[in-house]
Amino acid sequence: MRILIYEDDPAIGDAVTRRLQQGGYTVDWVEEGVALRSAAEYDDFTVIILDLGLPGEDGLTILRGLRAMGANTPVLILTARDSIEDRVKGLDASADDYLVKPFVMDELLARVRALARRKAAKAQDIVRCGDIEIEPAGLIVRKNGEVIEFAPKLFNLLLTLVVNSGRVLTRGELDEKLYGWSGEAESNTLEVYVSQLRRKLGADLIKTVRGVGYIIPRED
Amino acid sequence: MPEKGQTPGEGKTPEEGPRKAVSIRDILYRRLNLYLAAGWVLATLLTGAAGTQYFNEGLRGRVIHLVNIIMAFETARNLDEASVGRIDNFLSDQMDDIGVNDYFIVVILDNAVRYSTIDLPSERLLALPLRGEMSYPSSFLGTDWVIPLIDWRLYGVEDPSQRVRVIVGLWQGEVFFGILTVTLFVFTVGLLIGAISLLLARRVVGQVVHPLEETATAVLARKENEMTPIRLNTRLRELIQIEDALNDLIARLDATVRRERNFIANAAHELRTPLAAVRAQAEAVDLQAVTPQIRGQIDGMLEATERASRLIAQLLQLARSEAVAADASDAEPVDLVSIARDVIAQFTPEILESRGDIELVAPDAVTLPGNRELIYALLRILLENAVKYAGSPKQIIVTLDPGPNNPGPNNPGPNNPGSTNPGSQAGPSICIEDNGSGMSEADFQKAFAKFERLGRKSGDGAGLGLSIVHDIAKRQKLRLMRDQSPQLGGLKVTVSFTRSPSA
Repeated sequence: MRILIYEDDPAIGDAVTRRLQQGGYTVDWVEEGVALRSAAEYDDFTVIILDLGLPGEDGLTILRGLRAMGANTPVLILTARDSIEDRVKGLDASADDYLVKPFVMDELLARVRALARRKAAKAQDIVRCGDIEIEPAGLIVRKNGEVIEFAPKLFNLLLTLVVNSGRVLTRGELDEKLYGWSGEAESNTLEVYVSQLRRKLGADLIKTVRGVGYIIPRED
Repeated sequence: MPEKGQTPGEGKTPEEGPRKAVSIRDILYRRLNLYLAAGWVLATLLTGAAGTQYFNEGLRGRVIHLVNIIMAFETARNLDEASVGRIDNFLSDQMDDIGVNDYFIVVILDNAVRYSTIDLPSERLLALPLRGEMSYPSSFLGTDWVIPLIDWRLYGVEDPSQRVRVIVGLWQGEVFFGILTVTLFVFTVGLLIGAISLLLARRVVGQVVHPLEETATAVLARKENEMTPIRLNTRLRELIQIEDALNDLIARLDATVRRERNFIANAAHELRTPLAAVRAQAEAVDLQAVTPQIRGQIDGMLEATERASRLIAQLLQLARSEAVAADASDAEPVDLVSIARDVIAQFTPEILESRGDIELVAPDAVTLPGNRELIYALLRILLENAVKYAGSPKQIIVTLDPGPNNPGPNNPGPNNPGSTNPGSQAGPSICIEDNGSGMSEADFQKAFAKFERLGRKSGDGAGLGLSIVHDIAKRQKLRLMRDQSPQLGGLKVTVSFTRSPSA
């Protein structure tokens, strides 16, 4: 898996590169002279880590240019700015995640993994989580190699939770992802779906954060 | 140079006590009263003095002329005629009411009283000197009052060749009471005019002072962070000048405050990247390849960067909350439940990793007007504290009570026996409880001061957290309460939102 890093601070770029390499990733680190690549080149990368505070070139401009070319690679923004306004600006420019400096390296690695899973899900590759394998293309779920059947709604819920594992998905987020903005769902529909998932996949996989939402804890 | 550092408070002289304030209204009233009263007394005195002089002269002149006329008449006329003794009744009637009693005429011819208008025995009349004074009780203005002590002044002429003497007595009371009458009149008129002038002056003073007082009220009524220009409802040029001066000052203050805030924010941002570099480098060290001593040192570095980054985040939050509060009209409908869920979601992985648990007890939505960013920051800091100080494993419960005016599915509103006061301003409240060792009320209050440690003895808090919470609570008009958690035994912090009646 290849990671592209745009980071002008040598100490950060160096450290992140080394840690990712230790984690088995191939890393391209671009320090300066940012030139837009072709969409196909971008799509070769699993995840792009983008420092917003690049000298000369605004990170958000790069991000918009890259999306305008149709590159779908997940982008993780690294930034010193953390106001809600800044976050919204980043996400509006279709960043996939947002990490504020100074960050904990394990957190960065976990998010990169999550983005890699998301890319796999989008690319209809196989998404893994513990002893579960999901094939988004065929709506197939395997637990320990054994295929388990799910209705599309349940499958989507499971995929969303797996792709975001390590992160709490609030009820609001899940409602929005599963039903769109309408929010017509009965307030206990989500509970019913989750209990169906648990019945087939084991009670421990999805953890309830009471009153808040659900999480599949990080596997490491 | 130990003397160099002077605290700002030392600029004032120590003996300078509280200023004794004097009101413009009082000064104007007092001075106007004084000047008008002085003018009135002076006018009365001058009128009295001038009147006395003029009246006296006029009266004396008249009398003397009269004496001379009678003399000339007596001397020239036929001495045998004895008709002078009587005065025409009609004329004397005409004179009764104007007080002819204030002078008398005596004509003496050949040492016999030929004519007299005064009721005295002949011997006394014949003995009257040509000039001098005479005592004779006089009634006042035709009444029966007798005024003693005021003498009659005599003016007389004599023609020895014709043996005629004419003596006119002038009652000094006439002068005195005449002057008194005039003076009293001036006094009274002066008093009336003075009183009217004072009333008008009060009005004028009020018209001047009232806008000044309104200005003070307008300035006083401003919120501490309101940096919009003051608008005084006035057409007075002097007040408009004050308004301009104040607005100029506010603008400069605003610029200073903004500059300071931006400086803090920029400095904090700038610090983040090098801090991230230190942290990233420390974390990139292959721990398997180094000695346990170096491993310990790296842990120390990481802990220090953690503390620094928390401080930076809090400084930014403080600068931001001040900036947000400076723009007054920032209330928008916000859903407390969704904010609480977002904040809790951030801390949950950490809690789950420590095998702890966190729970939110809340209805589906609680919406109220407020500032999303500030409420988010407030909950984030309170939860961060709870996570930091919770016991092991970490147990945290967040409870959102919609309040009596916001019936949620868990709180059926008017039928709920708890909501006996639907018109009250009580709004929703959020409780955050943990299973840590708690915090005393004194420490809780102390933690509100900037840069005070949180009172709990952990040591890795940057100490700004609760002071920011306090700040936000003050700006958003929230109430903060500390308690012991009945369920978990640790600290329980309650944030109560007030609901404006229109909400």
